Amino acid sequence: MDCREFKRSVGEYPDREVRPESRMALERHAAGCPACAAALAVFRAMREGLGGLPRLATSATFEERLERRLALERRSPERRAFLVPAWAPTAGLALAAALVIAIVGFLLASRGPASRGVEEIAIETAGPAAESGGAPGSEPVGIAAPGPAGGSGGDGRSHDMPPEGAGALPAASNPGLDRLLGDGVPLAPPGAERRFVLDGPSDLPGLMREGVEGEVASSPITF
Amino acid sequence: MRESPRTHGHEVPDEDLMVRYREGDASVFPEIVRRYKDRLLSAVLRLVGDREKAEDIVQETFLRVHRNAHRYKTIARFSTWIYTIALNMAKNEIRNVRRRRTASLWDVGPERDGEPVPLDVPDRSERPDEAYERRDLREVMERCIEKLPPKYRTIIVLRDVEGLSYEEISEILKLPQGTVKSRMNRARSRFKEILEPLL
Repeated sequence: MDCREFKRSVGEYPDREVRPESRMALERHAAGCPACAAALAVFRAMREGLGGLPRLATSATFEERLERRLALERRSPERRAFLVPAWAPTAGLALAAALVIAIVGFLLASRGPASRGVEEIAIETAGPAAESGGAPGSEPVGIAAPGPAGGSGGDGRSHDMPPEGAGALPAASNPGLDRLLGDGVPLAPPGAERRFVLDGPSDLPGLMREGVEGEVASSPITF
Repeated sequence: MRESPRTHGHEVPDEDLMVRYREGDASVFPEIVRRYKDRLLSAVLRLVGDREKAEDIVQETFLRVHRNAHRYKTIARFSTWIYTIALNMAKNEIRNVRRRRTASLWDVGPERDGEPVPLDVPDRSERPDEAYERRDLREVMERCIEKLPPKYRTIIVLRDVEGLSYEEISEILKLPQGTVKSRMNRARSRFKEILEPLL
């Protein structure tokens, strides 16, 4: 090793992971070169000094103060964010996506037969409950399926057309949509304005529960 | 019955403790604090130079660990995560202190490599061996660390004082390992320049 190589490598000397043979090579060269020996002495002091520095300790009241601050955090509103499970945002997104698809499906379907494709998507989204006419609690998200007398069509029957007496459908009605809505929800003629009542599962936000069950009013669609 | 942080004489890994905390076992948090409070203080205090500020930063670090526990993923080493939180705050504190200083070692004087050079020059009238004998080596080291520019100080403290691996330092500082090693060499050269007159 020459002085140039020594100067290039000596910075590694204090490192605790330096290979023993590298360290010995530096020491061998320094033994024969006073200038490099002086530099090595400084790096040796650096290695011993820095490696020997003590771990500093926190003050005696550190943990007690931290515990107090933690207790405040746990009581504060931000605590609710901590308690929200990791899957909650994903479930919320899935719920929102299903709701949007259902609403879009309904809006398109209410324009007439051309919306058949969307209706199929809406049914697929709604799942088996819609196919069977809707049991309580199994209605697709956001879509009302009230049955006669305040209940939903819990007879489990599959309906291609609403039962007699539940409200006559105009000839241009959409049977697929009817599966979603279940029994007893009369469809207004296409183009009519109405208020659509969403009466889904009880954990939907209150916004979705406006209106009277089964009510069809002549006002713009609101949510 | 909850498993203690020590199982059969071996410490439960930090990552496992953190997962338990994330899942609602608050009883493990004091163990996390015990393991890291002094390590973090050692690093942060040597970076910011003020004990009160350093303890505030370490306390805030643990609060952020608590607040963000639900985001902790075991793909990251816990030590890397907690050091990153602490050092980011320490870096901000250093920046704020430099802005607040009006006349100091760092504000006036020449710069080298874009970093200010301290004006505090050791007294050369004293014989080096007398100075060395008079001062404790530890005190000398602390003084030299204090005089380093922040980016060199950080790496010297993390590697040569705290003993973190290059891999960990690379993750904490978000630098490639090659950059960490070359910065380490420059930091040691600068440290040597500061230390040499004091020996």
